[in-house]
Amino acid sequence: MEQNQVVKGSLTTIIMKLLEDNGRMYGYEMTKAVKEITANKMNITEAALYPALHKLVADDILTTTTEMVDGRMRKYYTLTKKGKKETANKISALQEALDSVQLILNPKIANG
Amino acid sequence: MDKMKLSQEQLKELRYFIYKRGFREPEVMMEILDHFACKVEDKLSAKPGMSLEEAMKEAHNEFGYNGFYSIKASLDVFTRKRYKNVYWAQVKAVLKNIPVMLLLAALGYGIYTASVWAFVNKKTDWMFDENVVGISFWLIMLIAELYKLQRINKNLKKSYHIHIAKMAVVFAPYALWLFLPTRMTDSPKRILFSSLVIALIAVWYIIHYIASWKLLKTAQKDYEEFKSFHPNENPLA
Repeated sequence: MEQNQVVKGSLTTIIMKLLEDNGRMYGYEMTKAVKEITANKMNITEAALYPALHKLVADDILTTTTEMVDGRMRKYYTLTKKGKKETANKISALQEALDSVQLILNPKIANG
Repeated sequence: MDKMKLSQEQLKELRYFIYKRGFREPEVMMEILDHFACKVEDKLSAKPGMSLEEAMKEAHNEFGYNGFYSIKASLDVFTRKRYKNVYWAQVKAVLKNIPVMLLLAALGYGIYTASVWAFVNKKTDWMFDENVVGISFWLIMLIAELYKLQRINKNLKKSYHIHIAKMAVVFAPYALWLFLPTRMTDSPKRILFSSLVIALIAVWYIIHYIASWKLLKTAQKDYEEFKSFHPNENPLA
């Protein structure tokens, strides 16, 4: 539960990073990828994922293509040109934030 | 482990399950269906003895307290936001287009001059006894809106995309129509002010009309793309 709160704050960066690595993905594939990469430690709920995806589309960070797969429509998400540029910024901002948290949690290591 | 794939009959069951919960627009149904179907397929693959009914219930529970609603709500909100962005991008494009702006400025000046002339010479309409230029423009706006409505044919009116696009510009200048200052006056200051307002509303309305057409075209394109995958209007089909 606590971890989910942390995930929520960095969800857009996670989505953008996944798309940077995989090219295009659909919603369910993203939730599965996060579970697999984190060995089930992190779970993205649909209630958080779809608002984030829809917002990124509205902000022109992601674009969608639709295909018929297994008898149903599947929406694939891809980074736009603007989205590709934004991804690097988002990742470095998240990395800096995580480093700062690390300094607070482990001050001894940080001080050498 | 081979992943189980749902048959068309089973997908029909899933559609009905979503439909029963109040998600009836085909566009919203399709937004939910693939994710829901993937979840159900994973459950049935993990537990081959599980019934479809049980798998659907379990998968639905995993969508959380609001169920499918969070997907529909965010689709509504952000489709509207995307359409608003299209609308305002078009407004900006018109404002940056110097030839169009010069034309609009000339038109605005013409309306202003004609309105001053109508106030000074007491040119009123036969029905409401108001400034004939202002009331004429009011009528032109009304006809333009009726034309737009008529162009959105019966099928498109039912479209989720068109509905959201219309909601996106609901603030449009309709309120301004009611306050179009067309009442006759002798005060020179009021004549100039009223004529200026009529000209500004007229110019703004034309910009709005161009942008709203572009928006409706975008929504229509979205709808047609959707229809190419889902030609049947029935969400359960």
